[in-house]
Amino acid sequence: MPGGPAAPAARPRRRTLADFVGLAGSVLLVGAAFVRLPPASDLFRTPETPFDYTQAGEAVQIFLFLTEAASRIPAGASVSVRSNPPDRIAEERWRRFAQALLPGRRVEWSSGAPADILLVPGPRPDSPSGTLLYETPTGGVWKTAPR
Amino acid sequence: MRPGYLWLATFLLLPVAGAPLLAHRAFGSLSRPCRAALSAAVGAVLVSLVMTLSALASIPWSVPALTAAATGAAALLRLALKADPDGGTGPGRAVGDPRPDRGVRRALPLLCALSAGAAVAIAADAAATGAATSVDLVLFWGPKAQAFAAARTIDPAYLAAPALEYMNRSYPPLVTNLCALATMSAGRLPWGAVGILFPLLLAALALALPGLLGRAGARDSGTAATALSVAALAYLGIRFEVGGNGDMPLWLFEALAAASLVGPLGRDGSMPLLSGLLLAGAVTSKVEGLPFAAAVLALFFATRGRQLNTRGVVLLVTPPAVALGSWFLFGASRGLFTGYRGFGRLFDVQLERLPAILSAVGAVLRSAAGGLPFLLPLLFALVAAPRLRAAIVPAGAAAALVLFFVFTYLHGGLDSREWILWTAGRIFAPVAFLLAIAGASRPDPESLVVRRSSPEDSLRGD
Repeated sequence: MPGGPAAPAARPRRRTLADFVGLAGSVLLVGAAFVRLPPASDLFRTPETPFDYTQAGEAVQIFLFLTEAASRIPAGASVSVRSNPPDRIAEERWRRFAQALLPGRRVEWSSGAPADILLVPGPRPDSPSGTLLYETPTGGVWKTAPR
Repeated sequence: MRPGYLWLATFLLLPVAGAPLLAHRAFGSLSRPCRAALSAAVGAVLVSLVMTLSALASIPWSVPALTAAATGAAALLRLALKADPDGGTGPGRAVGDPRPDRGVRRALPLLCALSAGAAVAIAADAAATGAATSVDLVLFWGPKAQAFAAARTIDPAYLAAPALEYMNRSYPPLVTNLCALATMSAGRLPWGAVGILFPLLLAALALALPGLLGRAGARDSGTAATALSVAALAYLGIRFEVGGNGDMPLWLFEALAAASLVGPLGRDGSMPLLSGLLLAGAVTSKVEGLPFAAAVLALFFATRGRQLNTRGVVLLVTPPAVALGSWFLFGASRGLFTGYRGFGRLFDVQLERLPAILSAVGAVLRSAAGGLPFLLPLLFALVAAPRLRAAIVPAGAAAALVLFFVFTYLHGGLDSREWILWTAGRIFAPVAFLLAIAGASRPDPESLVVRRSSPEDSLRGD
């Protein structure tokens, strides 16, 4: 970016060239963005979740599981999310999802105070604790035994 | 009406709130779409500020009252504008290109508009099909907005809960405030609709940026820079998934603020006030808005400060100071925070990790179409070769942000590679549009009048 004066005719020519560089660049980037869209068959499909085609693939299943739970678990209930097989990192991530998707419920750490309801995304655990409330392809929900 | 539509429709209140200010004749030479988009941006800042001040004063939120108060604030700010001694055309005065358009050049603005429109349409499809949503929407932006809407205030108990520490309690309030406003209207937070803000705000940028960049007569460069910026942000927003998080609001405010500071300032105070309000939007959208605003203001005062009188300085600096100050005051008054969470001591950096950090950042940026969203704006700026004095604010801000982010990464621990992988693509995105804006920058004709004796020179748009 030169600081000194330039010949009046040269500068508009550079401007014109720059403007076409800008236009060509924008067309190129629009093309690159288009390539990142979902397949043509799904371009106008309503997604199941906001994450259907994102890089956060696991978010789709947990989102479906917890939004279903939100319509079935009463307000005020305490819940915790348990993974199968046990995975502390996944459980913490899912706890955070539950905080968002289960408003009005008390979301406990899986290692913390016992909750009224246990949410287990994915396959059914070998030894579930409590009574099965319902099960969907994305996971199961148990009412825990009173302690 | 379905909650998602109602939620999105609430954002139509924002241009209404900002309209009293942008309807002032000082902005009369900006196009109607440009003024509408700027009204929405200003309305967003004012509504959010009123929400923060209401929370500070423990006044429960209500959508009509908040909108009315913000509209009243815009009307009051209008009173701060003086009549322009040149006849009121103000800083939006468009200076025509002295050379008549010929041939394909005549079609350039239309082609640029079509390209920008296509970029917005692609972003809209990506957002609507679940291809651009940020996980951060569910991790903190959304739940905070939902909780604040339920509490009808910025709920200090929610922010203070130890189990929710990961939600970054000191994160600035504009995005969560406005999402809470829409959630109060809709009755619940419709998760699928929140991501649509990404293309909507991109469209607002496409409408407003050409008008701001065209003020100094750089109309074609303004449309080209807009097309380039919008396409770069559409790509980066999809590639790094920003739907529903604070990045797109930040980009909108940053781009408009930078563009508003490269053209004529006028004598009625309108442009410093608008720039100040846009900077207030940036500093209250995301933490990164603060270094941006600091860099922009420092560069502006260093190079063009003499063009502003005391009143202009006040109009420029007060909005971001009040917006950020009210947030920190809220945090301090509730015992939550007194500033942003840092990453260790300021100069406690690990310089030996600089090559690894630069390599990791480079890898992330290259993963975005080979770095084209950054390289093409750089090429545009280099070919346009604007005068350094004209382009110093956006170009310098881009350089300052790069230095600041690298400096911040130097504070990271062993996991900084993952931190960079998670953040670099988004936080470096402003560099793309700042370079494009730098390329479209032309000297303020008024400053040329001061520096040169020849009236011909002063009117030569470049």
